[in-house]
Amino acid sequence: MLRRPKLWLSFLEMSVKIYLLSALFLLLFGVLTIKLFYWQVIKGADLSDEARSQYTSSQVTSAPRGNILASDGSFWVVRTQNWLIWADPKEVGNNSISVAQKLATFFVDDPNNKQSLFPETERLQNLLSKSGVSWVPIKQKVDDGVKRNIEALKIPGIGFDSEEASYYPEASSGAQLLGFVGKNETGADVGYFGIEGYYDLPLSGKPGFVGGQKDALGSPILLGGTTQVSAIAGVDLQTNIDKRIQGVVEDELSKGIEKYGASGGSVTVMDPVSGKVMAMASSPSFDPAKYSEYSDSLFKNPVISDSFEPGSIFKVLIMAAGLDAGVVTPDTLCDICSGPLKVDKYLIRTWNDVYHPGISMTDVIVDSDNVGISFVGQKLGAGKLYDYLNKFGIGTKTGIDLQGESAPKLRDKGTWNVVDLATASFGQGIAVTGMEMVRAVAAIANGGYLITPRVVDSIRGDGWEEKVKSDPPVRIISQQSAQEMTQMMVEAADRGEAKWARIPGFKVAGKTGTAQIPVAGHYDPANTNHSFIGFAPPDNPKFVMLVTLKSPQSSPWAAETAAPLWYSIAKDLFPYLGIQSSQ
Amino acid sequence: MKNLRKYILIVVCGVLATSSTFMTVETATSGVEVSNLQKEETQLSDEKRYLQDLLVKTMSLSQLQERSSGLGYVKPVTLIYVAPPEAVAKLP
Repeated sequence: MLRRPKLWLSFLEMSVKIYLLSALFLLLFGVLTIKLFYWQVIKGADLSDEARSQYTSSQVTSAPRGNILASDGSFWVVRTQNWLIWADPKEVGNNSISVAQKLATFFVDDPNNKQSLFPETERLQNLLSKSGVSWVPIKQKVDDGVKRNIEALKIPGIGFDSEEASYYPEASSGAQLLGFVGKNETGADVGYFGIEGYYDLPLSGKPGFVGGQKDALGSPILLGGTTQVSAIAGVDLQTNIDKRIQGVVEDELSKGIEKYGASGGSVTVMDPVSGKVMAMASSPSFDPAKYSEYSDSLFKNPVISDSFEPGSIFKVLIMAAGLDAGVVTPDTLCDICSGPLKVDKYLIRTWNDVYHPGISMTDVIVDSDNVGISFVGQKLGAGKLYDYLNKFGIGTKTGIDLQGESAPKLRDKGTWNVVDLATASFGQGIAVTGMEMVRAVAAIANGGYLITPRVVDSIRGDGWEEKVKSDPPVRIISQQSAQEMTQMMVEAADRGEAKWARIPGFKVAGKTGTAQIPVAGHYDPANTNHSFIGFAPPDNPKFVMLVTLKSPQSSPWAAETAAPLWYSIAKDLFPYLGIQSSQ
Repeated sequence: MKNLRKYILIVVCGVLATSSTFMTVETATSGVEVSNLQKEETQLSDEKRYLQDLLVKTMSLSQLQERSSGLGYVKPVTLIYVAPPEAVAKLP
């Protein structure tokens, strides 16, 4: 009997323990279930992403930008790799002074020049001593050679990141023609101006993608599979620009600007038959590799973007129009050329105030007679003159494959008064771009066809090449008119004011132009723009060239500035293009 | 007969287990090999780019001109055109 209560008690005790344990297990199970629900259901997606990010890798593969080649296949612009050098100041530690001293010698032009070395050392030291950061960029655009030398020093805490860059083997040559590669608002490479801007899309290519799984050491896990979309490289552009001609043009232009005291100038050389632009240079210019150091105003190409009053070189277009319309012939005599021509309240005078009664049309061009060409303008009438200017492409873009082309519009047809008609005849009160003039005169040179100027000849991909299409030539004046006009220009070159500059034995068709500069509603009394446009040989032209000089100080006449510059360039072009002397 | 089936089953299972292990090892080492090859490819393309840059710099026309003037080559100032002799009738 005595045992019973004890048994009962122990049973009760046991039951309580079991209940307690069961309750505890139930509680733990509940907590576990809640926790599992939290991790699996609520945080499941995030954790899954986190896990995936640890073993999967995805990388955008950049598409290399295409190169730009000269007409002989050599490089104008080659895409290469530069390096961004960075430092981990924590790893550099207390060695910042010695590391800065070592690196500075690579980042200055002359390591012996203490004036440049000391500031660079100080700059680097400041960067390397930064606290609380583990990545500091210390130098951008470092080339392979310098990177290799720094790498060889095995400095702890110094690293390299590659970045695509453009290398210009001919330095700043053809800068305004080529344009440059800058960054857009998202930091991506974009071509601006010239060829880089116009052909940005084909040059850029399309980036690719590589995705897959990687182990802890970064090696790919092949069983996990990979996803790969290959990058499509940008195409290469084969241009018509001839390095030798471009070099000659730039050298001579630079000498000419200095010699004649001009504030700037441009030269364009084009094949008048095919429209291939062989050279185009302007000064002042910029270095495309260091474009950020130059003023924005230097980036645009004056030959296609800036307009100017052409002056007397415009007379060849008016005379060609007169010949084609049949209102004059080369032998037509001017019956209003015995003195200044009164138009409305204005008097039109010749450039030297010398008048030639009964002058022939050929001599109007030879003597650059303003009254004589106004006579042609009057014979044509405003309507026909407008139509012919339209045919010559004046007032419309030439369609050249360069970014930034502009074309000042012609005054609307029907709004030309007698003064407009007369002044436009000798290239005043009308604005053109250099490229418009070259294309229009090329039509005279090639027998009457308006062509589209082309800088790029073909685009090249991996194992394929395609010619760049352009609009077919359009006949705008008859062959006879073109020939007669050519002959007049030959006479102008032989007997005109610039005859002293010509090269004996070589026939050239050319015309000078001295134009006043419009400034705030009137003409600048002190400065003029000078130009000379011509082609050679006249019967089978290999090139048409326009030279313009801004405000030369050595002489007020183009015959003494632009013309000799034109001939000094032509002197080098003749043997190079196989043009033989007749003597 | 029953034993033979048993042995065949054991052998097949053994082969499958071995090949599975072998394949896992093989793919793991291949991953390392692929990684090494990728590094080598990067190194070679860097080297190629470096040599190409060097070639482009050497072929630069402006550098060639500088070099040629240093070597004493000068641009011709006057060109003389030589005409072929004209045919002249022989004297009788």
